[in-house]
Amino acid sequence: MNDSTTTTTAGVVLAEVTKRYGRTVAVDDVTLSIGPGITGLLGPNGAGKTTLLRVIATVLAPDSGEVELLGHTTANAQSRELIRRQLGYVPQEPGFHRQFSAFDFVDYVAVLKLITDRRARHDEVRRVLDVVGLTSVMHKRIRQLSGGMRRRVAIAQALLGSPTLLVLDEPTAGLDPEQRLRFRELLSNAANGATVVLSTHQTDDVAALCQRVVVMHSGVIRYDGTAAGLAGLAAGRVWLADVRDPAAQLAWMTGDGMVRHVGEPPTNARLDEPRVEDGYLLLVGASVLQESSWR
Amino acid sequence: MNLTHIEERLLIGYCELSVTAATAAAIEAHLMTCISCRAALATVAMAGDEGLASQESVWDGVLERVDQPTRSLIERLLGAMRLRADTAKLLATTSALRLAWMTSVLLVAAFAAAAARMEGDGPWLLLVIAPLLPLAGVATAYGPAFDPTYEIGVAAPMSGLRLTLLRTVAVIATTMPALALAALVAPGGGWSAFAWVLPSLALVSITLALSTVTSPERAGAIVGLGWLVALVVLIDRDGSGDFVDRSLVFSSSGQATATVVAAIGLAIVASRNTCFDLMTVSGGRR
Repeated sequence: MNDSTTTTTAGVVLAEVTKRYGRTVAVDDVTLSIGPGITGLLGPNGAGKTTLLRVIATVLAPDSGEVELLGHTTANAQSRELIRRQLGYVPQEPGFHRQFSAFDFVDYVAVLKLITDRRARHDEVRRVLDVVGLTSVMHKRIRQLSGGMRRRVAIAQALLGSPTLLVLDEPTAGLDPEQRLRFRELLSNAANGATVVLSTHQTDDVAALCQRVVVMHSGVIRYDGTAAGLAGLAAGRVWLADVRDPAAQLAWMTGDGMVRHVGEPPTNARLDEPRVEDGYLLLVGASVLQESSWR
Repeated sequence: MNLTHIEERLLIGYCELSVTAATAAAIEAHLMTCISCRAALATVAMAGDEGLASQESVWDGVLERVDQPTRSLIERLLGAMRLRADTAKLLATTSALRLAWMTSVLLVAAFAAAAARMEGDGPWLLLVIAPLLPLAGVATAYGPAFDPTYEIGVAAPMSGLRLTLLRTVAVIATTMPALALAALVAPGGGWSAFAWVLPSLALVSITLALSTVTSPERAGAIVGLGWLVALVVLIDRDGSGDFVDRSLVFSSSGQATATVVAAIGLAIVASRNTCFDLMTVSGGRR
């Protein structure tokens, strides 16, 4: 799939990328290089994840800054087309033409992806639907499929042509725990050698799936490293106590009846092992809990 | 039929397409699960056709036939019009090809023609309404608000301009004949009942040009409003006769202007063709 021009090891190179909507700065001067493997973009709603992923998926042009994907700039239409030939993209809320079956829909996207030979196209459509485990329902209309199945249809279209750059905006939203496990399995298989960038709210997705985690908040990058490193940020700052400390900003009752505190130690508390979630909350938590956008 | 394996004569019949659909379905159901019958089918098919080289390609052929996608009525109609299957596939996603849209176009055209007959004062209502129909069709044929797969489409290598123009042609091809029919049955019109044709093309062309800077539905709304304003303002107040006679829009200079406007719109579209390959939406969700 790689042509001779894609010699750069980093699939995604962003330099000082900024994108505004009116007066709101959605992505603020972001510089980032992403290589092969799975990179997770973590952040609250409104952090700028979707805007950043749209830039990485070539659909949105930044107001300023340079974007280089798979060795090609996104600044002109010709090189955008070269990138798009090796790109798979799942938008945040993928829509469907509801009269289509799963097969029809993926076949339609395959036409948009310029797979013109009908036989080859249908073979590829069957292959990707098999990868996501939808072979048995591929001729059912999409409106008859469950939410989780529709997610998988959306993922299937992104796998057409085995792309070297895969951009997925909240691919696990709306999936039940079992489906999320299956998704992790299929993505780690599909990612083989490709550059995969996904956004999620789920800290456990990131811990289970991503070699690299980028935490975004208010348009800027707040953390860039491994999931273990993100958990490590909370080392020595996660406490279990019997009662909630009235002064605590981040504290919640866990399943075993203990109150987990992140931050300053409450009285009569003992230290606990930090998790990815704790590190994430320490980075963005306090401000997020005050925002009404938190869902 | 042998319950464990398929008889050779049936396999030959299947290859020659001479078995009934029910038998073919039964054979296919069995082939899905039986490797030895697939091998037998390959042998039979190869005996009948030197060109089929391997068992795998025969099985691919079977799969292709079993998994033939269900084509919608629109796709089949377009196929019957000898359009290429992938072009038909692209057009099948055009909302203007839906039954609901086509029905409403026919109703509006019929209403305008009926009004012209009853009022007896010429086809002015048809002339006012007709250009708005292709305009509405084009404004809702693409873009994030009406194409649910818009974002996936933008990220795909196919040119956005090609898809947009294809859908525009589909809108014009379905809307204009209905309006032409209405113009034919409207009384007292003659050729002047067709004075909407050039303005229609001008409005569509300007909408496309405007949609390189804003969303298509907003572009359509602006242009549609502009059309109504032009009709009200560009009137020869000292002239005689009915609305159509006094309207500068439907005069010969108006027709010439419409042609120029259509050409300018197309020139803008051509020069800004890569704008159709990026999202035009601003604001909204982050």
